[in-house]
Amino acid sequence: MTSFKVVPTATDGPCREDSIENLKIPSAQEQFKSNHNGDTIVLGIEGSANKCGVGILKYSPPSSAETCGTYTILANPRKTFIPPTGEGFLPKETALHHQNHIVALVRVALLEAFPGEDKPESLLSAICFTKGPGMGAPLQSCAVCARTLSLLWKIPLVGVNHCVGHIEMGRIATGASNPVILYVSGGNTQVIAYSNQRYRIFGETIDIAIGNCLDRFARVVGLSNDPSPGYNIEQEAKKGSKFLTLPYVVKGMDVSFSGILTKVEELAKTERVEDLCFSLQETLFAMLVETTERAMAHTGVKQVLIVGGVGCNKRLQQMMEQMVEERGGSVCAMDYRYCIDNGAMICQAGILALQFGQITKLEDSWCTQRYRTDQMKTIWRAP
Amino acid sequence: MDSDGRDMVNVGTSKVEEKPQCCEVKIVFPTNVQAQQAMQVLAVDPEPTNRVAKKFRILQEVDPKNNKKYCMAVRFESNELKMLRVAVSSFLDYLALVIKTMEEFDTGMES
Repeated sequence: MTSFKVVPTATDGPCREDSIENLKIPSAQEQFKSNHNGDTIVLGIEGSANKCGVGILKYSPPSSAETCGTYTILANPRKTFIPPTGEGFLPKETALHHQNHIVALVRVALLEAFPGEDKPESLLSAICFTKGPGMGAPLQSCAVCARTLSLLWKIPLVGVNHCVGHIEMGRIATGASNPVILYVSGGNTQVIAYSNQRYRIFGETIDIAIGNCLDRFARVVGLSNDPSPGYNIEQEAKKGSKFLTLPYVVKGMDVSFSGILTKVEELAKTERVEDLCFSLQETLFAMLVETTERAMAHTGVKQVLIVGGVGCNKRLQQMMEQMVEERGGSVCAMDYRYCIDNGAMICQAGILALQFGQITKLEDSWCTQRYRTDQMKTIWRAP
Repeated sequence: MDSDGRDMVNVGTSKVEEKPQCCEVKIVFPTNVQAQQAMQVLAVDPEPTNRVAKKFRILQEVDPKNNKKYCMAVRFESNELKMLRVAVSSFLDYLALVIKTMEEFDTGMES
């Protein structure tokens, strides 16, 4: 085995399972084996967009009646495909990026999670992978790797809905048991609330996702894609001061961003980039805060969880906090490690499915570009 | 990679009636198990359009030195050459990934 320096990607301590108030984990399971320590460890592969990530997650059962089981991330390396300024990521190039990096990422994750271990794969109980939604070719690349590992190591596969992965990661990392969820990323914009074993979509975008709107705006004004277009817009927006009126499109619980993009592209010919970034952020986020508030009022829930890549944006978190504070609630937000697509979130949703007896047969392990959040039954939550 | 050239790919085009364009890809694996595993992994994904059809089978061939060879053979058929090219090209990308994963993690491969 080649030896190289492992940069730590998992630095957080264990998360208590009782904080998220799931159902009790059934004891007898035929689908998988825990390892000789009594722990259940899974490896998760994510690659639905331009990030390719591998996570390893451990569940330690309670050691006595008084203690509580915990979930710990053992490794969570990730590699991002960054297209040149002015360009977006295309399916074929992104798939090639994932194909080039996925095997090395699995190796790096195993080295970090089990240093000095001769047969790290023998400690794993399952391979989790993203079944959808996302871009077809990148998804399929990661699924092909996951399937091969599953056959080589003779452990089951667990197909995971990407959105549910985000939500479960957010719940366990912040300890929010039943929040209203704002899921904002490059491909998705949804306000979600839980009911009867499904994450129900309360409101969503009717055209493009918020991240897509930001990415395309960044392309027009020539902002770099490194580390991400959204981050660079956030930095520029801090320098902006002049508010330019943009269309504010909330239709019931749904939002629309394409008209705003057209308008802002038009204004880009005459206005300063900083002011455009500032106005764009303010308008987009206000729309999201409005629909989230309505979901809170409807469900009577006091906690809001922000997940997805755009969820790292400090201004969005700040605006959300202001609204939630006025309602006497709290916001749970995370930083870039967990907001942005990563392997550990696929592990988290996957291990829950596994522990409750749900696995994916090899012949059913195909990927799908369309897979709505409410299509995956969350059998680990109380009906 | 094994010296018997698992990544050796034979590509041939010939004519059949229903789907006039076809291409068969044959990949030699060191063992039957690996050929089967590669087939299982790659056969899961349906082609994105019905304008291309693909079929998998495992062949056992004997080389001139009388050694057994295990082949995964995949036959692509289509009415359009362009579709055929796209299907074969992306198939080869996925195949390369399977082989790369096996090379890194198949501990039984050396024995």
